[in-house]
Amino acid sequence: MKHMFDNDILDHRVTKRRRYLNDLILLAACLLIAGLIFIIVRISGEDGSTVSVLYDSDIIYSHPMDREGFLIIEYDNGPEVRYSSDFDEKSYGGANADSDINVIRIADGCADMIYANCPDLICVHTRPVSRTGASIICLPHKITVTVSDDRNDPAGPDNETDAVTW
Amino acid sequence: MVKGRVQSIAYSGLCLALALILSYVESLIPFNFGMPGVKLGLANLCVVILLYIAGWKEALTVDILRVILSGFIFGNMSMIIYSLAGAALSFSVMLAVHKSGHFSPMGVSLSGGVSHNIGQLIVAVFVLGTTRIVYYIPVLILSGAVTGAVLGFVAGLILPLINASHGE
Repeated sequence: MKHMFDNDILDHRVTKRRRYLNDLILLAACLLIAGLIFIIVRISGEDGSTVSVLYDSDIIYSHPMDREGFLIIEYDNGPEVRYSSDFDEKSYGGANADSDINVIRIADGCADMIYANCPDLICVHTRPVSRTGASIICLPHKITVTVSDDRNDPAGPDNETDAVTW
Repeated sequence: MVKGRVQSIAYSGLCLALALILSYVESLIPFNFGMPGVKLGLANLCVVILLYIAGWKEALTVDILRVILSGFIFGNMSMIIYSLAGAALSFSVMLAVHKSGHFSPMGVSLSGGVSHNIGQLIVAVFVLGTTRIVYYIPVLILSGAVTGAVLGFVAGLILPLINASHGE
């Protein structure tokens, strides 16, 4: 009587050890492919010319990459971005500041989030962005800083998260 | 074999319930890469186990049901569509890998995880357009492969225990 719980693929020509080896080969192949694609994407990126700040997928500010300085985002009934040629960290009270704040430094063809008072500070830890399509996201403040060039529209359909699935 | 059917139904229900719990646990872990569909894929563990102990029909049923049900509970319609696409590819791949006989549960789960993410990526490419999405392929493959492998390893540990508990 065929037992329901038998592994009907219990084919002894392919031993268990061989199966585990195949698994590892498969895993290695996946990692390799992922690595290759990653390298290819890295190499083929191009530097962007414009830094755009988006609030909840709407562009609220655009700034040329070659104009160095700081973009200070404060929130007062909604986000407000202003440009400043310098930024003094000590003049802000950190987590005790009156309003939320994000500060982006534009320098050397890169945009970098250097200061924020969101709870997780992931945006500050994100590496500087310089290539078209790259972005720094501050999720708690709903800010996305993205790089584009004249051809690409930073607030195009790509930038909106239509859904989260699982 | 009535006894076989009853047990198969019982195990299916158990796996479906477990899959939903795992989906909930998954939703608590922030794992968002700004691209629809990046998730740990914990619930796939149940599908793999069911595939081994009960057969592909039961596993497919649970796979589809958990996508739809967890979509109703935790998400929305578009999410269900993405996940169904991922599950369709993932299940086909897992079944093929399983039937080939050349891989253990770890390999089956691993291939399921990767193909689930790839399936969702393909749908996203059609819906959103390609420019940004390409960045995420390596991450999707990596996360799908690693979580699939770990889950498959766990499945490999659980399956002999199930067999033993029915030891005849």
